[in-house]
Amino acid sequence: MRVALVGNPNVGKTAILNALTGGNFTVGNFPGVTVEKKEGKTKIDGMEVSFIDLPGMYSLEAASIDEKIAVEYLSRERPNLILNILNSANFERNLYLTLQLSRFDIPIIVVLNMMDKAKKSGIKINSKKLSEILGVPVVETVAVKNIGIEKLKREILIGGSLLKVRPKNLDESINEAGKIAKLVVQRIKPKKSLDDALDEVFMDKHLGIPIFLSFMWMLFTFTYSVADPITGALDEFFGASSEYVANLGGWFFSLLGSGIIAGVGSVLVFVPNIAFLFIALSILELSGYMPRAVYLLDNIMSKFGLSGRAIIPMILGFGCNVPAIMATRAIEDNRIRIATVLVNPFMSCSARLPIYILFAGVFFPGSGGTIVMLIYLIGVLIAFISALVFRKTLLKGEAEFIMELPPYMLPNLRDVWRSTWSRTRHFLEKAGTVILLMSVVVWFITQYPGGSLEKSYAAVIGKMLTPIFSPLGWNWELIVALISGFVAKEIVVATIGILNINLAEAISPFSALAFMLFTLLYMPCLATIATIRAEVGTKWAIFIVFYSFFIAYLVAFAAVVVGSWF
Amino acid sequence: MVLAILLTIYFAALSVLEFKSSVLNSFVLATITVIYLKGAIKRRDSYVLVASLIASCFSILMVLVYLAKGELSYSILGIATAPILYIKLREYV
Repeated sequence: MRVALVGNPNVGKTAILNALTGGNFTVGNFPGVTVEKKEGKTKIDGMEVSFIDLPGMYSLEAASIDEKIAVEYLSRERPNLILNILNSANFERNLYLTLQLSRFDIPIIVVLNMMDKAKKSGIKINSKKLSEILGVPVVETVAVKNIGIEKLKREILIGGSLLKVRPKNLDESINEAGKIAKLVVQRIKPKKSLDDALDEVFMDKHLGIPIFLSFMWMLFTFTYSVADPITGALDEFFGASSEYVANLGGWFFSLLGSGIIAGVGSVLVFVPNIAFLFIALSILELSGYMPRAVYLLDNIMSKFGLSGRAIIPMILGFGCNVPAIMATRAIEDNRIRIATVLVNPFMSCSARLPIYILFAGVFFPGSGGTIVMLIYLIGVLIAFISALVFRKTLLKGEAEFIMELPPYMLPNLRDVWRSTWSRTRHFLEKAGTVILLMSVVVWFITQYPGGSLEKSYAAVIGKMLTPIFSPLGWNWELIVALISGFVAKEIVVATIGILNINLAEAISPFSALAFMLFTLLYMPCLATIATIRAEVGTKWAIFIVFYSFFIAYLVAFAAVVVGSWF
Repeated sequence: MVLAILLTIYFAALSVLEFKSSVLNSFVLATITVIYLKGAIKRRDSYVLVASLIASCFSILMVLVYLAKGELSYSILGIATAPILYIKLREYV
């Protein structure tokens, strides 16, 4: 049995999927988390049921790519049952889509999710009466608390029914939804609303931005300072292990100690920082604060030719640019979408964090957190400026802002864990595959053919490129590290570990800052380039490789020049 | 609103004291100060609630920083607002 989960964005479809299947899919508290269909399987009373979580859509008149995916799935694949998830706190607006679904002639179960939020907002829905009017089963749920899920499972086994109300077009759906809402919704005076109280301050036109910057500072302090002892302990462990194994003698132990353990270990050292960053980001996302930050920044965003919807991919870019670029599918305007894709690599992904922490720790020990935050802010600034340039030249057009503000929620530990783990796991998987392989490659090119670093392939490559980078004050070893980072940014740190570079002696603090800025901005990693190519085409993928390299060189050079004045 | 005024003075003092050791910590404390101040001027409880929320979160974070690195910060004293946060939250939840 195939069951499709259909509904507006941010109504809790993925939360329902997790509750039904015991799955581990990442949920968010902002629209556009699901931009491609996800599938989860479970057995209900012995019957195998496949659930397909479709991207959120407001109506069947699909405009964005993710909405088109959902509509096409329903038309072509024709699932056996549709679970239509509604946000009960926004019942009437969600009901348009329900009525439009009648056109598919597929049995439906209406799920009134977030009933707790609706009650708090003073909305009472008579689900029995709604079921009579629509002619389909109606189940009340609070998915994040597993409320109503057993009843929903029983209804799934029964198989739902066809909708009785069948409007012919969108206008008729809107009218009909209004009439039904009047019949089944009762409004009672709500308790003093916490959401309103929080919004009054978080979105205050004078205080909103300082509050946002305060949260950003807290996020970086948590990432940098609180994770410090664990990072330190891991560093000592991998350092000692690498040295011990390498000293056993012979090429195999050299490969294992100086290559694999030094390379992979120097990346794994930063797993605590990355996990802490994701914990903080998950809390901000799940609490519902992030979209408010988006709203606050909209004035600024629109000045740079981007829409409010562009900020979600930009925030996701702090984790990994690959899913972030895929999240641009929710942007309807193609030119804004391309601009958002092109600037996304400037949002500093977690793979670059180890580089900043390593360099900040060596060169700016007293103000590491501040430097890391500064690097992130420069990335955002360059992304905005680039977006403005693109929108004024290559991708001209108007920007619109449509953004739905989700309710505030106390993030639940399970969701914070899921979100953190799914992103950290991605990092660990890379450590066990790409980084491991590249560590072997880097070890090989640093050992052969001459038997010493000075006579190795790496030295030949690095020295050949030295004239290009010499104005920035970097030696050939650092240039080799940068080249290896083209595969995946974490490999920069792995290569520094394998080459055993003494950073404090190799470069000046301003050259180190230039190096951090260069790694922030220079060409995206291979996976990101492949995703850009898949999403917007080869031409743009090639363009961003050259553009980002040019910008990175320019900014790094500026940092060295400014540094020389002091 | 006497409470909001008292907390404005308290956090302003913390912000000044913190300035020498960390400008950005001081910035957060100054932001909290201004939120309390605006709450006092506008006579709105919501400002006291949010300022107390930020102050409590920040002080917990600074306790974690102390445990991790041994660095003390005046921001830890923001924990004094936790009972106020609890009382204000109960009015809503």
